[in-house]
Amino acid sequence: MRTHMEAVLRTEQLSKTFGKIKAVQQLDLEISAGQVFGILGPNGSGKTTTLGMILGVVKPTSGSYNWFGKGDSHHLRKRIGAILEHPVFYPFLSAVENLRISAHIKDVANPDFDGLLQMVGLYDRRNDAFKTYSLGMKQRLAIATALVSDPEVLIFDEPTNGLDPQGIADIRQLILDIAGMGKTIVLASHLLDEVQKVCTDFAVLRTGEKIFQGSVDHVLNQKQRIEVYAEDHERLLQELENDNRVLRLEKQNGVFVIEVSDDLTTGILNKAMFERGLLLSHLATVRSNLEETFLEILREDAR
Amino acid sequence: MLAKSAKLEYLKFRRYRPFWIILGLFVLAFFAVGFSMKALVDFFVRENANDLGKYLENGLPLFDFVDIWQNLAYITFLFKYILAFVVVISICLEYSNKTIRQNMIDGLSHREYLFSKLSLMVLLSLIAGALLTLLGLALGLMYSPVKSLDFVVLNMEFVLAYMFEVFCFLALAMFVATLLRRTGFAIVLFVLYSLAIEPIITAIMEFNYELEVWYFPVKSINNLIHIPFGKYIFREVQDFVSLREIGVATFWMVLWIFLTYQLIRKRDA
Repeated sequence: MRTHMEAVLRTEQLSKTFGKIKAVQQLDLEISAGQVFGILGPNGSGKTTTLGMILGVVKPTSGSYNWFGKGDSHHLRKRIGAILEHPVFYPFLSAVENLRISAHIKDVANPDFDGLLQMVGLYDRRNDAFKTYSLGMKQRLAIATALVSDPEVLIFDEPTNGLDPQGIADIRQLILDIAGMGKTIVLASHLLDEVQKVCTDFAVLRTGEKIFQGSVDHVLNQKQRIEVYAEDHERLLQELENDNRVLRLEKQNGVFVIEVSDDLTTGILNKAMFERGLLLSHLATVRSNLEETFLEILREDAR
Repeated sequence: MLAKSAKLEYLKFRRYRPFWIILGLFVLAFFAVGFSMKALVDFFVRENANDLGKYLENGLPLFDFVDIWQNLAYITFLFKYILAFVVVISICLEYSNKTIRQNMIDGLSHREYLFSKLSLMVLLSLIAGALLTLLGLALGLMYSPVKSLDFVVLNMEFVLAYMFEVFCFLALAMFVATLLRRTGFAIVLFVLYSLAIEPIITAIMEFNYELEVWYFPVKSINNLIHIPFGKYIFREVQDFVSLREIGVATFWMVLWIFLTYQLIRKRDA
């Protein structure tokens, strides 16, 4: 029986250099069964190179990785469903024929092509050549292919890249559905919001280095926090303590920092205090450290 | 594992129309050349009747059994290029579509991938051998004065030699395609090397410096079946397949397959 703590994947000091470029540097990761693990980082931060290494198609310069506590072999990869970068298929073959190739490689005895294609919404187009598909359809076929051997682990690399809003929502829902089936998922993304919505745990990469790792609930889905101050700070303190939308209160650097429920925004708070005759001299939303850091990384990347 | 690899190649390319078109053209060209040969030779003999004298008035015995197998195996030596293009296309497609990488991600081993391409090469060699057999039987039964079974099958080892020649050539094509990864580039370089660069080098070495050239890769493949036509003007020709030549061709063939395997194993897919 699998326990929740069992490591599905462990990397140790995994590194890859291309000439002078250090694409991935001494990466230590541990992904446990049942996690939806996000690898978050801007473009060029080493996400795809990392996935390439753990999938056996990019040779690590140094370091190692270990699947299911058993090491690495092409047989173990049959227990993983993965698509790297863009969906990759034989353009002249149909969805079913492409699925058949993956199933054949993975030694799947009785693949349920129809069921898979129904699940991803490609059943009606199953006999058309891959080259006639839209990008969204290609991504959905990629997900069906990743699922063909009913794998324990799924790896998605920027699965919503280039899709329209509806397509993005569909793919995210599909990933959440798959996670609901109890599978371990690794998701590489440059979108903070995507990791926030889909993942349970995540690591942040920046120029090939892991700069953070933690649980999404603890770090990203914190309650909204607001900094507030008024000249009459004793009355402000009293008002805040009496408001049941204020969940926590502390004093930091001479201002009050309050954790509030979702229905209390800075606007509502300002109005409420004004109506009670309190003029606020300071009011600001506080970003979590990680969000701040990540947005900073993205800003640097854009420059 | 062999059956799995062969089936994989079949699943990939059975619906790839360019393959069937090229193979169709190959069969067509093979037979067209074979059947037009007789008319061409007759025409040639008629035009040159005065010079060649009376002994040729019945035409050259090109298609007589015993002679026919070596003659046809030699005449059709250029056709292996068409098959080499099929191999080059099948390999370069895997790189341009990045499907080789996806195959490995899905859990295909390097060896299984190599065997899938080898199975395609074996199949193409068998097709070439079957066509040569069919053409030989058809032409022989039409034009040969002797048609008894002993004579028909005599010298049929040239069919085997032809299949071996094709396979060795395809091994070189596989290596070049795997090394260069781009179809156009690979085909141009392959043709340039085998039809121009190596023949020029060997010609200079052979005729200007009297050096041995039998060990060159393409030369060794084309040397398996010697030019048989000298005998019709009373020159001595090698009318058998020599073990040393098989040995040299085998050495290269094994080397190309080994180097291809190393490329697949060592390179990032």
